[in-house]
Amino acid sequence: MTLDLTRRSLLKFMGGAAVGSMLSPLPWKLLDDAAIWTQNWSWIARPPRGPVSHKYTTCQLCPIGCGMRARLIGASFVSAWPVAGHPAAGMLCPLGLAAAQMRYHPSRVRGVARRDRTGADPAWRIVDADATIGELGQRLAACRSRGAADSVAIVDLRPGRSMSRLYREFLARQGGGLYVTAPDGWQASAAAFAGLATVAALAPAPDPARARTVLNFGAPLTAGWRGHAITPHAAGGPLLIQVDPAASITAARADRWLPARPGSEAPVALALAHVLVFEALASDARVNALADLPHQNGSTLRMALADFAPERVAEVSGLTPAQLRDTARELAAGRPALVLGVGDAGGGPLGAEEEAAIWNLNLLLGAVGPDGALGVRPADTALFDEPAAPAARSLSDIPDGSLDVLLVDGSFPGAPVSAEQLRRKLRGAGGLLVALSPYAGGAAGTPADVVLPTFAPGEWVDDVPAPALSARASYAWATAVAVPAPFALHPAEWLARLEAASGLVVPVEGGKAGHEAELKRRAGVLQARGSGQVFDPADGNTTDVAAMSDPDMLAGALARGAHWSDKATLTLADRDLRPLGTDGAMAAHWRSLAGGRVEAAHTAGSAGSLVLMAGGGLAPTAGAITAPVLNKLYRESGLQPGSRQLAISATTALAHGLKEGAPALLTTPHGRRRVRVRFDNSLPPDVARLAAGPDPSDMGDPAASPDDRTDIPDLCGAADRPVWRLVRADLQEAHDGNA
Amino acid sequence: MNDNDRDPKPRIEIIPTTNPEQERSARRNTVWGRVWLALGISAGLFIGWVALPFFLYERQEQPLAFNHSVHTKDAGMACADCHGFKADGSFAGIPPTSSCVDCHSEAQGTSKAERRLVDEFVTPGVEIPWLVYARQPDNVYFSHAPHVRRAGIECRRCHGDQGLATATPVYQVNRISTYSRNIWGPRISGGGPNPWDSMKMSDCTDCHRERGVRDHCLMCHK
Amino acid sequence: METHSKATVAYAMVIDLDKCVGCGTCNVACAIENNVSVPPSEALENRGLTWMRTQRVDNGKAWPDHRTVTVPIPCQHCEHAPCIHVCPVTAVQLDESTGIIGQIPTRCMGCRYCMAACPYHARYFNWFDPTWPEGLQDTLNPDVAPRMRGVAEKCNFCHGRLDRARELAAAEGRPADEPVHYTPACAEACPHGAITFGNRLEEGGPIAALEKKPEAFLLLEALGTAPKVTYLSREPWIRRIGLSRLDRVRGHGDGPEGA
Repeated sequence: MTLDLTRRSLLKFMGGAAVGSMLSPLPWKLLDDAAIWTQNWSWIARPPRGPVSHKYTTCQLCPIGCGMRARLIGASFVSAWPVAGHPAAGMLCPLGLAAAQMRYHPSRVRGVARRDRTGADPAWRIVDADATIGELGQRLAACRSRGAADSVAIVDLRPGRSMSRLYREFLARQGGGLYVTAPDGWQASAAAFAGLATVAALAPAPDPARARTVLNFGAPLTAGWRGHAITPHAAGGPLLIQVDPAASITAARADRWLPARPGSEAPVALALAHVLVFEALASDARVNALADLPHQNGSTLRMALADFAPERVAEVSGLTPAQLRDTARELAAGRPALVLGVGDAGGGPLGAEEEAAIWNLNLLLGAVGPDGALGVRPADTALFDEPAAPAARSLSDIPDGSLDVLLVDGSFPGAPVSAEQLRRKLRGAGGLLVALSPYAGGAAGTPADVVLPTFAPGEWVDDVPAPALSARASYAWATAVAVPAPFALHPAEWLARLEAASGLVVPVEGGKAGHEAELKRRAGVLQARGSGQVFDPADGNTTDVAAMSDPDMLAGALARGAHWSDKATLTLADRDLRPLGTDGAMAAHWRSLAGGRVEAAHTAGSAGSLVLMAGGGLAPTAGAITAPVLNKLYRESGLQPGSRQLAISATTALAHGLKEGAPALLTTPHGRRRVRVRFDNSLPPDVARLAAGPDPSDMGDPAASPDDRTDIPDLCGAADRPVWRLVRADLQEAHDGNA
Repeated sequence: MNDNDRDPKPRIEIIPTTNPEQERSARRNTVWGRVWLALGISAGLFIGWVALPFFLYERQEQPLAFNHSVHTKDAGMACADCHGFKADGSFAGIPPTSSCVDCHSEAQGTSKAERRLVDEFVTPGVEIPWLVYARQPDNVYFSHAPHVRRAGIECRRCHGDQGLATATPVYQVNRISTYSRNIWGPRISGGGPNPWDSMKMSDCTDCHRERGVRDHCLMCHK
Repeated sequence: METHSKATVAYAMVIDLDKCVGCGTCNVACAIENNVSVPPSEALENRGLTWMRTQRVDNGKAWPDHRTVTVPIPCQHCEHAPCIHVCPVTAVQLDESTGIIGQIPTRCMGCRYCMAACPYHARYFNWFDPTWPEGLQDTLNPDVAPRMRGVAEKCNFCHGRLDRARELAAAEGRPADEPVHYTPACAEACPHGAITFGNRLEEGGPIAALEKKPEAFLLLEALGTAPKVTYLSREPWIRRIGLSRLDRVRGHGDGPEGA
């Protein structure tokens, strides 16, 4: 008897084994497990697990500082939600809603990054931090020792914070470096108002809620960005008159729409003032005094307005004289009235001339003061007693090619600054632009040679001073809600390391501790003032500061996301106001703009068949770093125009031989940019608009070189002129399929 | 067809069936064939019932030897003292290290495990990386509140006598599905003698059916 | 008895188009709440996933008479939903206790019949593995399971939030048949209060009142799908957009080839 293994017996064995295993759970178990396995593939994302908690903070992504409820799963900051009833704004825009993603933006740098912009390979590389800091320190020391401290500068894209003070103190200790700010449209508007008053350090505080009539120059008021959404007239809000070239949503919802030509803001405002003064609609003694108040060069507002009769302005603006006269009468009859400038902030600031003309309407309508809708509050610099030296200056005041080291604060990923203008300030090939930024992109990272990685929004405590043109003085902290990235440093720590490397002794209260001390000091200043209220986002309650006996109580509340605010308290007397500016030069500026901003630019040598308007997008500024999920708006749904979609009316586009979606080349006197045509019939003929904002074709791509494109501000000549929102442009079909 | 096919020199002539040698051989082949078949079946059964669980599950030790019994019997604590609800209605599940601190900021006894708890987790404030027997896939939604608070179901109904155990059971992870064996049950055929032995979807739906709870996909899936 | 009576709850949404400014906050809030992935940059625009699609419609006139409206279109949660009947694997279900149409990704086999059946284009298909940039998984919402490639997905009125609300109700000892109130992410995030959400069967509730207003209209009412999403507008031309199909337009974004 042998157990002979034949083929047949093997088959029988195998068949038996198959039958046997079918009689066992094996196949069903494996099927079940395999089915579950397909749900657990490693590339299927796993959400964090853990207990849910909430922290309150302030959004840091634009100057408004909306309240934010951060949702945490365990220690992970997963999402941000609005805080109902928050005094800054009880809402969040898509940028703020996606704030939790900003820490993981693909362009975030994970170490000190450097690149050779002119070399063959301009890609970012992670380099040795100590060596880089050492090199920068030696440069600082060299500038100091040869008495050229003014070849060091810091660009602070959001002045008025605790970090701003640290930057100024750093520069002062370096022997007097330059402290530079780059105002956005709102800050520029506020600065223009301050230029009409002889009192220093004040800020306008317009409050549409107190007005019966609001005349608004182009800002998307009903679209509600920046906390300025106003209640419709039908629901008890003010009568809204919108001056807007485009049939925008705000224009469509306004009670009156004045479709003025692009760039005619100053002539329109001055024509309205003309009617108010010469028809004696502004009959108050105070207003007549303002209109006749002589200035250094002897001219008065009445004389300056004489040229701007509605009949003359009608040609420039495309509005009828009757429209202008009726609007002036409506404003005069509907007091308290308020006139707002700014326009579309995405296109950079309006000129000081336009803003002065617009603010003058408020002066004439008696809007300034406690009875009107335009309050006045102390500027934050005055509130917190910021050091006056070094004085804040604008980028255009600095000579080109004069800087060895230019530090740019990038804690605000989208800020209005021209990359080309920043680069021009550097001394030839030797100057270094150093970004203190979490990203190798955005306002600071795009033009930089070196990025010193700082904390991303949500990882550190930054303070949020009152936004320009807010109705109330305010102050809040953007508190830390997320675990800081291990590869990043506090910007104040980078400053301290630079200072030490430059051979100076860092003060004991330096670095992060110095920043914390300044934050605490500010809480102490507010507590000592004893005025204003504190809103607690956790319970929605408001407490008077007067009831807080201890500065630590206020600091503790701010650390929990509370918001301090105080009503506008300053009053201005007639003698404090200078309708033609403190230097009286406004009359001459206005004359130069009598033909409108486009014509003024036209005479500067540009020619083109189209008027290109910058702006009209969601992102606050050009080249902003936006969270990856915003791709839903910019690319997947096309809801928001990206910075490569040229909005243009169908008639105008077809006249250029361009269909919807056609690739085209946009040429201005300052540069060229590839765009795609997007029909937008809300625009008047021969006007095109290019939005500030991310470029959807390379969103979140850190490898894209910044040199292969001209960004919107530079395309519009922001490096050469302070007002760049309008430019003449030509549009051709792009035949070839590549760059 | 029979085994003669395998003969190296096949003969064409018909072999008389009465050949006793041939008959014996055929009978032997049939017997051995059956034996092989039986062996195969037993091997299949063995693989399916015995070897599969052995190879399918990887045995893992918990990071810390935890004794439920000391806490519930000796210290007289209830389940909810550590595994409680939070204000938002969610169930805390495995308690965080911070909840151990009240009693174990310093070692109370002499056990090695407690020493480790204090030195490695409580003092540095590190969470204990427990292996969770009842962990469900991400697409499963389960809330303790309706079961415990509203329906009054005891912890034991689903978690068994965990609370009385003196040692943590060995955690057996399924190498394919990556979930604990406690979901499928100790029997390789699924489940076990007790109702708490498995936590499959069928266990949920069976109990819902018994209690007359209307089911809908989104009720338990997210 | 832990049952939900089908007569007491039918969640519904009312969207006031006169308040909507087309900012896209609802779209982003939805994507963040529901772990909707961002497709890779080589993806075509029309392969994106936006449970809350916001579509721009205009009145067809030239400047200065041109007017646009943006219409946020989530799943309409129809009473008579065509998607349910075409699904071969019962991955789509109407929950009669809430009126919510559920889509179970683990059950879906990706035939996309439901996408073809839906007259509102409210369903989206995972053409790609749902991926997030490095680290971004850490910002996902644990209340919603991420999907996988090859399945359809859509709005479920933030069922994860309903689950949380039900949990709280149970923990507070409220009875199972008491309707729970919750707010989906889009309604919470809308900066202009354009989205109202609630139980349309609640007597004297806000939804019932809004649905009865003369400016209320439904999308494609004539199809008889009986949507639970109602739109409001005082403008007659906007109310007419409900009469015809709003085809899902290709986004205006740049494709992979750049501009």
